[in-house]
Amino acid sequence: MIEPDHELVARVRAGQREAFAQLITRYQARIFHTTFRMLRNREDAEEAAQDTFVRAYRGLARFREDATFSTWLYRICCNVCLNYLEKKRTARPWPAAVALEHLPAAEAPDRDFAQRERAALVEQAMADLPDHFRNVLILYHTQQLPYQEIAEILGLPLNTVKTHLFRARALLRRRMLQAMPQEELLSEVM
Amino acid sequence: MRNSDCQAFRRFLDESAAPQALPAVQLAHVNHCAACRREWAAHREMMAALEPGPAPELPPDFAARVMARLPQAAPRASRVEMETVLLIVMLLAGLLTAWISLPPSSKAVLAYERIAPYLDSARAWLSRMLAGIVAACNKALPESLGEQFFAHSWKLVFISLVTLLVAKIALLFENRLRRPLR
Repeated sequence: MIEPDHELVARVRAGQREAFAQLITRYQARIFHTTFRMLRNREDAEEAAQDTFVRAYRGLARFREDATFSTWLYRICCNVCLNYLEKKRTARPWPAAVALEHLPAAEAPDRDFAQRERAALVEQAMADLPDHFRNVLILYHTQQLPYQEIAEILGLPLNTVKTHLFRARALLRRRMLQAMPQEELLSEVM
Repeated sequence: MRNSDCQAFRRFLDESAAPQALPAVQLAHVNHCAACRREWAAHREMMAALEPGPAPELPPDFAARVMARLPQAAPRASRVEMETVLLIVMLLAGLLTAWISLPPSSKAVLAYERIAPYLDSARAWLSRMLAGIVAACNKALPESLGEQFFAHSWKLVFISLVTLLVAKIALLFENRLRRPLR
């Protein structure tokens, strides 16, 4: 039987560190997926995922349980990623094709050149989006979280989340339209 | 050239949760409008790219590496919560406000020189002080409470603004501190 999150949290608070390992195992894939989508870099994503769990452990005593553990963890994850992005922004520009280099080996050969180019284009368009738009897009589309949970994670009103999502999609579409060759787009219609 | 149908189509794309297929009305429009056909194609590209794709696999020892970074001690809350600090600051600001807005005659009642003779006996001191406060209140209240209020109201406003500012800064500080911990 799977032990619920709140019981594991209680055990960690009681001093059982090994219970936290179970929480890590439970959420590591989802958190890493999020950090990878946000940071587009395997090394950074892995480090950010580690930081997320370390911060979660340190802050566990303050976890008020007014949200679920997963929501709280996502919130930490988003903040960690935002901090990374802030550092990267000052350090160096965001490479567009980095994500493709790090796709699983089984996936990469199946993609033809045009698809890879398009994917890189989308990645670049995503990278150019403001952070708050990108976060909502990733949490909604990649993590497939409901509006309400995204609102809790990002500490935004529900309607703001929806507005961010609409605007982010419109902005992304516009950037793709500007960047993609006309004939390529038309050939794919219908 | 954009017309109302084009605008409606773009609005549809923006506001629909994730349209994978077009309703008949929109489809008819797209068939006749090259610009919206491009929008639709870009939208489909975008939606395909946003689908949850595979992320690279985590190393098998990821959990072990995180565990190695954790402190040995169980997580504990810090001894002083930010709310407590904020409460103390607000209380002090309130006391300061009250003190500054007191008329000098009332302050004189609480002056050390006035109450020093009564310190020989705690009971006497308390009773005298209470009596002094009551007397001061009796003296102050019937006369010109309104005047005194207006004379000192700027101090009240100033201190209230400073208190609000301090509270705002403290809240910002608290949010900044808490953000990674939530």
